[in-house]
Amino acid sequence: MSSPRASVRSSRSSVAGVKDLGGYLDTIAGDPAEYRSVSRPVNPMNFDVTGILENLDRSGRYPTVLFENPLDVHGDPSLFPVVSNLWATRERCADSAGVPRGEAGWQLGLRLAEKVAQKLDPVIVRDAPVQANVWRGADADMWRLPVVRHSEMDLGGVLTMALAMHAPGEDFYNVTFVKHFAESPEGGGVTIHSADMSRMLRLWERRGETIPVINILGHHPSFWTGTLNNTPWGDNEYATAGGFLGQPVRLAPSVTWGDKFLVPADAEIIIEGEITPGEKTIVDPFGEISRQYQPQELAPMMRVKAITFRDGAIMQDVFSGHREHMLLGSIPREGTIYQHLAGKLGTVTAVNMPLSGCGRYTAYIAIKKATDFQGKQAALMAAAHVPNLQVVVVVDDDIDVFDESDVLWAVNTYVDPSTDIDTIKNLRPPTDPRGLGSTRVLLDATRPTNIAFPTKLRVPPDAVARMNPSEWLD
Amino acid sequence: MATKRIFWATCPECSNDFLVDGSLRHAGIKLVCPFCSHRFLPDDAAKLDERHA
Repeated sequence: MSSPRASVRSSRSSVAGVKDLGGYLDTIAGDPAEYRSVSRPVNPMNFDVTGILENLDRSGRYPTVLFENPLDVHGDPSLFPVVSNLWATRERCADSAGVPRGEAGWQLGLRLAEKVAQKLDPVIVRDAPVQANVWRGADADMWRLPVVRHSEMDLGGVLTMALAMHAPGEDFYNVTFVKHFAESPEGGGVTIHSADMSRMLRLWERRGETIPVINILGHHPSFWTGTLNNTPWGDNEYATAGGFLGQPVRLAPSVTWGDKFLVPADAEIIIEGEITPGEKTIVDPFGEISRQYQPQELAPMMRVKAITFRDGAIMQDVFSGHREHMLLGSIPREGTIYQHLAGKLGTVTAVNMPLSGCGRYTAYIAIKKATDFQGKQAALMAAAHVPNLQVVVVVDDDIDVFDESDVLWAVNTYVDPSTDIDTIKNLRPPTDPRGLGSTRVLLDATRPTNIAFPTKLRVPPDAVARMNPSEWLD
Repeated sequence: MATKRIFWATCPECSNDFLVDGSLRHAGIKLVCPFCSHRFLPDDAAKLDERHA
């Protein structure tokens, strides 16, 4: 009996030389540490998908998992497999940025930041794989997708990939990860929090016009990684994504708005929809990046106009509030902090935004300190530069910022609470009810150099190099 | 400590608790229970926990 995975792959219509999701999965499919499949039927709305992912996570295993035979929201076998956990390791994040896996540590954020400048203008094609199949009218039923319900208190199934939108009269596109609640077959609320997409929404609302928007439910990982860095207003994120892909993003006229809205031709599944200014619906709770529930609120309603998909399409999902969700945001921010401090201070050697801080709220920064006040200076500059950063710990360059016990050793050993901990109060209101609220905490955990102070013990490096246990132990 | 105001609502139908943004407390909009999909106004909740810092 041939595996369902094989039948999915054989029915795909990839374009030679063009990067797509299926092609990437093929590169990791042979390694069980990187990729696993589930051929038995699963019900994503009954937490079957996240139940398996949670078990893997708790056992320290982080493979990408392809669920080959999920049910749709109606409870019928879905036409589409669903893949999740794709970015759950820094190594696969490196893959998705076209960066060697050997640079998956502190260098990765920097490489991402460098790649943002390597834009490639998109090209327009007329024969788009993603439009091989088109559902319109009553057929455009988003409940036919294998929508995943992630956490216990979630309001329902949520599509966790990105929306793309452009401002009225403009031809640059913003691509932002959002939550799209599958409230009904015809549509549901979308939570838009990014500054640029919120601005686009406001501009459309001001004109009182219906807002065209698409939900992209799968593409090559490099496409997504290219959309994660903060770029200035006016940047076309399709061009940024092309730089990460190493080839121009191929775009095609949408089936709903034609040339007025271009869609990525090599995506897996696209929902074309419209937001009517002022129309809102209930969304949330949802288990978010903070590993807490976002409270129930109102969000713009997106009504489905059409669903298009390639032959053999795979739907992509992000395991919210877990490693891939955290790494997707933390690595670009690490690069942003590194570049900012390198430009201003010139002394930064590594940055890590640890999973313990959800990849958003805490930064460990290593510097080669030139003056005693640079620790505090670096912390202040990082906190001012990156939104949502709540705790900044600066250490010396002999501390491994990717080893949390090493960082906490520096905190326990070097920090004088009366002089080395600062709080910045009364910043902007928090978006989530987190402990620190609008206050930021800065810790200078570098070794004091303005007073006589002990150094860290060490076994002589030549002895460590010379006395290899495998040669000496009986 | 400044935090966004939220409250817990207890569904009058299934008695499960869920988290709601403070903006919906007096908006006249029915909440949707994530556990049983019952719709109800906050004032009709079986219980509200509105404590805040």
